[in-house]
Amino acid sequence: MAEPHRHHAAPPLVLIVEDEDNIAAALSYLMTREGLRHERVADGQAALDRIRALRPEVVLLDVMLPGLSGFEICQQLRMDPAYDAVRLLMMTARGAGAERRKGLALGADGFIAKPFQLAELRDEIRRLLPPGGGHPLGGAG
Amino acid sequence: MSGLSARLAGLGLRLRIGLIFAGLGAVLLAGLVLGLVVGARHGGATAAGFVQAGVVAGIAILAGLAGAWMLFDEHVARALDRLSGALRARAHAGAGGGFEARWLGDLAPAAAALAARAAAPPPVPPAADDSTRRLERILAGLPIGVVVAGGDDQVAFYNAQAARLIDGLALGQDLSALIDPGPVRAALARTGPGAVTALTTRSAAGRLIAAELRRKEAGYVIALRDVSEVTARREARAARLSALVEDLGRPAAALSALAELLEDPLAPPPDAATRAALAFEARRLTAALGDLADAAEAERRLAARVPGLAAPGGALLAALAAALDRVGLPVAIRPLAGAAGVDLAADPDALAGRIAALGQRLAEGGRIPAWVALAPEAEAGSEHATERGVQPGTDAPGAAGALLRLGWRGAALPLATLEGWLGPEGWTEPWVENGVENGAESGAESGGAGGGWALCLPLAPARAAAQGPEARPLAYDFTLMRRELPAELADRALDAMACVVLDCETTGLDPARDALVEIAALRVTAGRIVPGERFETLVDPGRPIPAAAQAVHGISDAAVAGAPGPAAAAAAFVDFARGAAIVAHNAPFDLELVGRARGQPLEVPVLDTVLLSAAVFGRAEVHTLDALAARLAVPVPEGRRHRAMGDVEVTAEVFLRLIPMLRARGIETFGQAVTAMRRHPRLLRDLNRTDPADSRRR
Repeated sequence: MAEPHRHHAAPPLVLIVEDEDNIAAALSYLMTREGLRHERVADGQAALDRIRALRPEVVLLDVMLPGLSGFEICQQLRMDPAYDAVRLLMMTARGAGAERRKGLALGADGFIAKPFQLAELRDEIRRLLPPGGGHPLGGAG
Repeated sequence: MSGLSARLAGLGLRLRIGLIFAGLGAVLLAGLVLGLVVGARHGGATAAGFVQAGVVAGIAILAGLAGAWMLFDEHVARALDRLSGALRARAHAGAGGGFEARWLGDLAPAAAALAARAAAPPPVPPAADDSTRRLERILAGLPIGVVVAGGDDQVAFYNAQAARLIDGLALGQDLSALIDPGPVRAALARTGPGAVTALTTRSAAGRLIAAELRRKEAGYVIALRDVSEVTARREARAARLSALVEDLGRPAAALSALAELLEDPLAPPPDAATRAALAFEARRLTAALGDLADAAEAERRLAARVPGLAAPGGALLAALAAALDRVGLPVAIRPLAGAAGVDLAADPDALAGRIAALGQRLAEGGRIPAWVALAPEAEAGSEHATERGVQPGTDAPGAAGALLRLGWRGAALPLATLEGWLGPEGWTEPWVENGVENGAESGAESGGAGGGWALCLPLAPARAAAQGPEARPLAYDFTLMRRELPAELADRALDAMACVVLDCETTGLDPARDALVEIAALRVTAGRIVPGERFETLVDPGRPIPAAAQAVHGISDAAVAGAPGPAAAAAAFVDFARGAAIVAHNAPFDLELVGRARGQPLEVPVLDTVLLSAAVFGRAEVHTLDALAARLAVPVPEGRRHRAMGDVEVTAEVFLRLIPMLRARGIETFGQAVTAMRRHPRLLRDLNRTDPADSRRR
């Protein structure tokens, strides 16, 4: 589905890191509807591997994951400047202010609190995508 | 002879000197007459006769003068010489010679008293030694209110918290008039001496008070805690939780029903209305869950704010730097950025110790702590909590805390490693910050992409201590416990009386026509001013304040606008002064004004410092408040004389300094003071009749 080496003309790639199948299904549906390429992984270590392999434009990153936590993935990626261009949108629990501050300190680019409206998520992804680039959401940033 | 001598010793110094010289005159006259008689008898009209008369008169005059000189020398000059010698000896050598000069009236006893006072170590009031002060501080700082009352409910002790809890609390006040006495009576009835029992009562202002009462042989000790806010908060929390459950329940019920419809193979496919209902209920559920999550976050933050812990940010940071220094890890303290004065719910030393231990672990892994920083932060979500009605105040969750950061150079710290160090107790929620500027450290040494690393610890703000409008220190007078009421007022020692010192400012100097513009009073008990027990109010006299009066006290019409009227102010003062004797300088003036304002005269025991001064210094002295203050070395507050509280403070000090002087004159009790004051009835009449420019205390 996704290609390791992106072409400028190709729609941006969003990696969905979510262990809840129903939520992942809804997110996949949204990405499809928005014309974005997407892939889903449900495990922390697998997510880190796929990010390193795919270098997606945006990672939708759940905090609570089997294996590595979302925070650990964030920390490891931000230690390597090679992944600076990868935007990390963390999905935190609503009301957990400490999680947001923790993610921000580790270098996350955005947050969305669960439960969320799909429209909110779409706006947040739009904010993180690079401007232009030929993708359907481009130009908003 | 000795009887005559004793009688003469009882006369005043001036009278005695007058008698000496009257005697001298008599002797001179007698001598002259004697000379003339002798001359006439022996010489007739011859010159020899007058020479003879002159010689005889001269001898007689010389003899008289010699006698007068001997008397003066013996009883005045030599006495003064002995007195000055004794004073010099006492002053310079500490010698303890006696002071004897019985012909010099009060001079010798006065010199003896002065010398004794100079030689004695500085007087230490009974409640002023170190251990007492320490105990006072401890008791004043107790987080619960404590009141000790006598068997008649008279307050003999209270601390600051009790004063905040019970309006109008004052020494000597009847506690049963200030809180609902029913539960206290019942508790006293069901417990024996030494036993403790719990009760709840209410203050006159309606505060709910949880209390523990320990009955004593005479009276009781009652520990008080204001539970009205806690109770109200619990009730509000329960109500909020119920509302949240209801908010979740409605969409959950709707979604459950709709989901069953969708699952039913016999049901028709969902139409647009069903889909819209599904979406609507899902949004409602999401919103309700969000509210619940915010409430849970607010509760978590509140739980982190341990009551009683309050450390200023600066102190915390200094303790941390010192703790790291002790383990060989000196660090720089970064600028505080406004967090120095933020009070945090932390025990500085304990927290510093734990963080220093983390610093050691960092150093063991080659991560050398280099700096510490503290920055204030507003906690996220506080606005939601406030919206839902969490009251600001002692437990309001929205207050800002601070973020403590410990930075290091070297390798990154994996979160898993940090979690392993923290162990299961999980004291706070620390995290690691990436890409931190590393101060003076070289970026090449740091591990992160943007610089160094920092361990971040969010610190909760301290719970604000409950503060009343006016913090009052400890107040006590345990003689109140011993008093048998009704005590015989006349026999009560002046320095054991509960007094209220009063002063009023007015629209003029005629108490029958002019009106109050200010009343001030403070309490004096057991021979000292009770800190914090003060009464002060401006009074709207209901008429313009004349310019002449404004020039004296500086209180303008604008200043008294909105102040209570004379009747309300006088009633409030009477409440404050209940059970106490009134002390005032020229008391009839103030009592007349207050009595007229409340519509009935004040019938209270009164001590007038004008009359007490006359009893000490004699009627011929000047008895204005300024003169008395100067004579007794009472400091006059700069710019506050002629304001009621300034005058009250001076009058109170004057009164306290007069008490030992009265005692030296044998005036020790209230009854004796009244007798002494009654000797000078004309003094007050004259004082109140004099010209306004120098009348009474003004």
